[in-house]
Parts: sequence; structure tokens; C-alpha cells
Amino acid sequence: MNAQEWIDRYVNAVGEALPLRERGDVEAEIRSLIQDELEARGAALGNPDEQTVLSVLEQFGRPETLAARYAAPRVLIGPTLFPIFRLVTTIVLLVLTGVWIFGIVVNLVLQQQGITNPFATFAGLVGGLFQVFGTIVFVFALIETFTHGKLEAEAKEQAWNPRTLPKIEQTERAKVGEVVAGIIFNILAILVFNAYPEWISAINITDGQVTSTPLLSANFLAFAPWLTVMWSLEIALSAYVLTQGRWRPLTRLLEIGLSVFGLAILGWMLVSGPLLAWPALEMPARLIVAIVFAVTAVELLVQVYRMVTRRIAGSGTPLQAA
Amino acid sequence: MHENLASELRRGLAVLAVLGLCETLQYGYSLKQRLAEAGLEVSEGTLYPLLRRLETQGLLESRWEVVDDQRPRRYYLLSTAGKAALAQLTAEWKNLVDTLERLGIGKEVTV
Repeated sequence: MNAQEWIDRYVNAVGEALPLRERGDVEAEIRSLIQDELEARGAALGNPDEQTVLSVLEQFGRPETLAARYAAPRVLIGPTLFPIFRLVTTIVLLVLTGVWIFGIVVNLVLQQQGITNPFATFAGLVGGLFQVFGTIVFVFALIETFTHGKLEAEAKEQAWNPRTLPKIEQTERAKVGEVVAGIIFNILAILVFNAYPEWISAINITDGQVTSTPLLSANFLAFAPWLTVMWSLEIALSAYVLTQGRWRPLTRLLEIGLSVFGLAILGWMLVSGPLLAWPALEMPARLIVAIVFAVTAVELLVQVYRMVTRRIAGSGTPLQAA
Repeated sequence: MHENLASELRRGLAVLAVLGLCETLQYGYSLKQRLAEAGLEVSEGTLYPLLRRLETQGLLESRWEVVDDQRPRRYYLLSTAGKAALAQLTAEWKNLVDTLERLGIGKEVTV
């Protein structure tokens, strides 16, 4: 290949990685600098040998690295806007997921029909979330482009007062596995109790014939909408905790509120009519519900105790001068 | 072993050295040569973009000139703001050297 063509390729590669307004000038400068290097190595002007050119280009380094050093750092969303972007994204995506779950629940309750294709429904949510995320990124990128780094400059100019430092909240790192397992359990429970309650049935094999009889009574299934509301709220809370990575006093309080809601549903179930369609199994079933009620109540007490003790410990650490 | 740290230090020093050399008219390659001869090796990828940054900051002025009636070359010269910056940076550099000496850093280590 012609030695000059290598120079053209290099200059072009650097130029392509630069903003349009700087491209022409930087390209001309790099071309001139390469020529200076070649002349210093004794190469004839206009006819340098290929090996010398390649050696000079190697010394100049990767075109994209050189271009990055010439251009001012380019970011889609700058450090000043990024925290606001993250907050807006978290809130919008969580609210959307909540609205989506609520819509499904309302649909199930009002129309009394199962979800025909749960995967398609879920894919619809994921697609929607990506679309909204893309729109938020686009809007923030536009703000960044039009403010053109002015926000960063203004933030640097503003006098900073240490007294504006936020108070430390009593936080607790969330166990991701536990939270995710909870979300999966709740999604499965919503699907099974609303769309496929017939899956909970007794299987009978007589003379090689397999028959199944629904196990849950109509009375039990009447609680499905309430249980679904509780599981949906638990999913929304868990999703929020996952995005934050930690439990805060408010989220722990909401968790306690949901436990109380769960206890109310379980208590109501126990005092209402039969839970199962099979009277023979009614007593063991009630016993199981009673045990779940007791375990939930104990968990609730533990949660309240932990929260109160943390509050007391937190309030007993005044700031002291060194 | 500590090449990255050394190159970071050289990059910082290059700003002062370039401003100092640009008190007289210079072009990219001449600067690179002068620095290398004095023992300060700065890569092309660092030096040439630095010239442009200093120009953007108003510390250097540049102009294109045709060399040997054949091709253009960009020359750099210290601006008025650059002269003030050079004086300030030189004073700061001397202070830093004094500070290091007071701290006993840079003296020959005897074991």
C-alpha cells in the first residue's frame, strides 16, 4: 500500500472519533505533526517509505486514544445530572411496574379469567420498561447536550456548606437472594391462585384412570384478590429495596404494615367458612393456616422489636468533638 | 514497576515545561525534541493534545505558517495570560521542591 495512504487512514480514523466542529483543524494538525516526524527521520517529502510511516503512526498510538485526548470528555449524562436521572428512573420504573401489576389484578378480579399467556404478558412489561428507560435517557441526554456542561460549572462555583450534609439513616444491607426469592414466590403465587387455581387439586388414581378434584373451596378462592393485592405490594416493596440495595426505616415500616395486612387476611380466613372443598382435610388445613398465622405474628413481633432497638441505639450516638 | 506514577508526574511537569519553552515560537515536533534532549520524554499522544488544551485555556496562541513554501505547520507562542500562568506555576514548582526538601524527600537514601 502507498505510504501516504496509511497517513490518510490514520488521520481519518482520528477525525472520525472527534466532534465535527474540531475535526478539520485537528486533522490538519496531526497530518502536519506526522510530516514533521517523518522529516526528522530523513524521509523525503511527499514520498516517505511505508515502514517509516508505520513506525511513526505506531508511535502516535491508537487513533481513538489520541482523539480522546484532543476532545473534551463527552458524556451522555454528566455527574451533576446523574443522581437526578437515577432517582427519576427508579421512581418511574417502579410506579410503572406497580401500575402493571395492579392492572393485571383488576383484570383478574373483574373478568374472573386467568392470564392466557403469562410469558407474553411479562415480555410486554419488560418491553415497556425498556421503552420508558430509553425515553428517560433520551430526555436527560438532551438536557445534558443543551446545558453543555454548564450545570457542572455552576455546581463547582456554588459555595459548599458542610452543614448541608444529609443525616445518616439507620440502614441495613438487603440480602439480594432473599429478596429475589420473595419476588419469585409472590409472582408464582399470584399466577397460581388467580390463573391456575385448579393446579391445587387432589389426584386420584382408580383402575389406571387419573382424575383430579379441586382442593380449594370457593370460600378460600374468594380471598385470592386480597392475597393478590398483598403479594403485589410485597413485589413492589422488594423491587424498591433491590434498587436501593438496603432496607431503610421507611421500607421496614412498610414491610411491617404488609405483615399486619397478611395477618388480617389469615385471621379472616380462619374465622370464615371452609377453606377446602374436601371436609375430611379441613382440620389439617386450618391447622396449617393457624401455624402460618402464628409464624407471621412472631416474625412481626421480631421486626417491631428490631426496629425499636435500632431506633434506640441510633438515637444514643451523639456527635462528639475529637 | 511504577511507570504509571512516573508518567503521571511527567505529564504534570510537561505543562510547566511547555509553557516555559513557548516563550519563543515553537511547533509540536520542536517541543518534543527540546523536552527529550533535556531528559523529559513525553509521548506524542500526550504532548500534542496538551498544546491544544493550553490554547483552549488561552495560555498559548497558535498560527499556521507555510514551511519551505510546501506545507502548513502550526506554531505556538505563550499568550499574555500564559505568561502570568507560567510565573505562577514556576513559583509553585519552587515551593513544592522546597517543601519536599524540608520533608527530607529526594535526599540520597543511605542504608
